[in-house]
Amino acid sequence: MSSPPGSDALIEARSLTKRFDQLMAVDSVDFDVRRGEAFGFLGPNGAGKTSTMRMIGCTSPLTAGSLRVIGMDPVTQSSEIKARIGVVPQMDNLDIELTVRENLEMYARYFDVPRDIAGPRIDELIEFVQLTEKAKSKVEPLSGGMKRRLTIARALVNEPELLLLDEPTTGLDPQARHLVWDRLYRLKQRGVTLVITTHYMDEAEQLCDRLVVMDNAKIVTEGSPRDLIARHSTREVLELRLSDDERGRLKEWVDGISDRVEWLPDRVLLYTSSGDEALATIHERGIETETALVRRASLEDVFLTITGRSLVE
Amino acid sequence: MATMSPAPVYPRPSYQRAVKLVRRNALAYKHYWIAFISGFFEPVFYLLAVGFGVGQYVGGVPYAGGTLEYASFLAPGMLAASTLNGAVFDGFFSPFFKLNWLKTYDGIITTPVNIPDIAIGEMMWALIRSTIYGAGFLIVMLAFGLVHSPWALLALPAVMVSGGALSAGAMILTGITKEISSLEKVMTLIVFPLFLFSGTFFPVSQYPDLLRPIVQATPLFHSSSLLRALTTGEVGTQTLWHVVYLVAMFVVASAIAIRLIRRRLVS
Ligand SMILES: Nc1ncnc2c1ncn2[C@@H]1O[C@H](COP(=O)(O)OP(=O)(O)OP(=O)(O)O)[C@@H](O)[C@H]1O
Ligand SMILES: [Mg+2]
Repeated sequence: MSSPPGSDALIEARSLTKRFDQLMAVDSVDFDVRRGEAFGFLGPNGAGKTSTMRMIGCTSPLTAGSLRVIGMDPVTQSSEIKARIGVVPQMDNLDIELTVRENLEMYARYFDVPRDIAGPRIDELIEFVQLTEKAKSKVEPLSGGMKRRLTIARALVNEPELLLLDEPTTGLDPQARHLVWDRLYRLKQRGVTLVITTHYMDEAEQLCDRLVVMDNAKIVTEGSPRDLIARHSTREVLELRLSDDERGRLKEWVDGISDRVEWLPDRVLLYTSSGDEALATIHERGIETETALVRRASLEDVFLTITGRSLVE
Repeated sequence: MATMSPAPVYPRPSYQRAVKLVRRNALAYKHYWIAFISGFFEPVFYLLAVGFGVGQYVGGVPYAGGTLEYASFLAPGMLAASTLNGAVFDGFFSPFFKLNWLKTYDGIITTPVNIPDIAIGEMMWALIRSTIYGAGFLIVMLAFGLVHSPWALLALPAVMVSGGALSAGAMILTGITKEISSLEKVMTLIVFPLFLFSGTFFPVSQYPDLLRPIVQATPLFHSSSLLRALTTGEVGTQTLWHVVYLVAMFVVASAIAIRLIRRRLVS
């Protein structure tokens, strides 16, 4: 995935490492983010996504390895880098002593945006995230989704060329999520490079051109969503619910009709190129299914295949 | 490019960036202006109740080889206390909440404003609040006829020196406290004893020989002694030492405070 020197990589990480005392949060990862693309970090809780994002955003020093962001070194040029990126942190840290509009005004000041430019830009941003009605409101009474949208607007106040979004839509209702997706898509159209972490596979599939899956501080796989599905899963998945007896009967010969089978407590998943054919065969053999669902394999299947189903803390 | 275990390279603080924190606080206090001015009245109330109320039964206080009417003795002490109030409110309370609860600084450090800029900006603001309180209190003193010398013209710069030293000290407290219970500890074990015992309410000559040097080592002793010298006109060489102490405290404490705040915000 690493590109040759002189490429158009906007972020270049080599053996990037972050350790908190004894704990390895990011263990020697390599990745490149190209200008203009949407790049995703997936991975279970504690995988090291936020730690990686914070190093890119120059708010957390690297323990080892090398990192270049927009051609600059986060160790020596943090102010210059920060001037050109926007950050949506995992936890909102809006300035709750200020109003919605004042939050944006102050951040425009922190970024040295000239006042005559800042004014109209802030109007636009408030419109962009649909908070016009709330412009004069304090931050505290806003709903979680409104706060998130304000955080996104805040990250855009310096017209960044790189936007770091750490779980931008966690906790949002479907309407708000779609609004955010739409806005991010538009930013990408304008040439803004997006780096996104998410736990929503549909979000990753929708937004990301390329992504990496992190697990246990390491990158375990990388590619486009479509690549990953092709590489790590079959085309379709047949989901069955059946009684314990039928389960036992299915177990005896199922290997023949499916590439891989997963026995979950409540369901059986058959990974296969054709779900309908597999289901027909099962019915031919006289096995009764309570419910049967054929669906396309998704990124979620890939994710669970790679990182496992159990919670490892 | 950074390689193995890069040595930390800290960006130099910038005055222009630090001032943005001052503007941020000025903007925020537009919504909390009552809170802003209320802290000013506390030492004024003490001056009225203790200085004029209790003072009637006290008579004169031994001072500089003579005696000084009690209200005139107490007033510069309360002037020093008003700078302490400003410093504690905006060098400690407010930054404490922004650092530990509101996470305001975590957002700001994603912009070109760096950690030392934040620490310096907050100290500048605390100094401004201290100075506003001090200036207001000086007007009260003038109104009550408690200013006895033209040296008092220097009281305003002295108020600033006091506010600077105390703000930097307060910022150190911000850098070393995390728990909400620390607020109470700081108030009852540091701020309140300083307020009562630093030569503010009674002369330090009252203390036994063993205790006196301890009191004389506190910043509020130097602040109140300096301001008393200026408002009574009893200025001598030791007055200069008070200034030296406060300036030195400002320099040392602000350097320590910046390091402590950095340690709290970097992870
Ligand atoms: N400031 C810190 N001090 C100590 N350990 C930390 C710190 N920040 C993160 N960690 C640890 O580093 C590891 C990676 O955490 P990180 O926040 O990067 O995970 P994540 O992939 O973002 O997880 P999530 O999906 O839950 O947000 C975790 O084990 C976490 O406990
Ligand atoms: Mg995270």
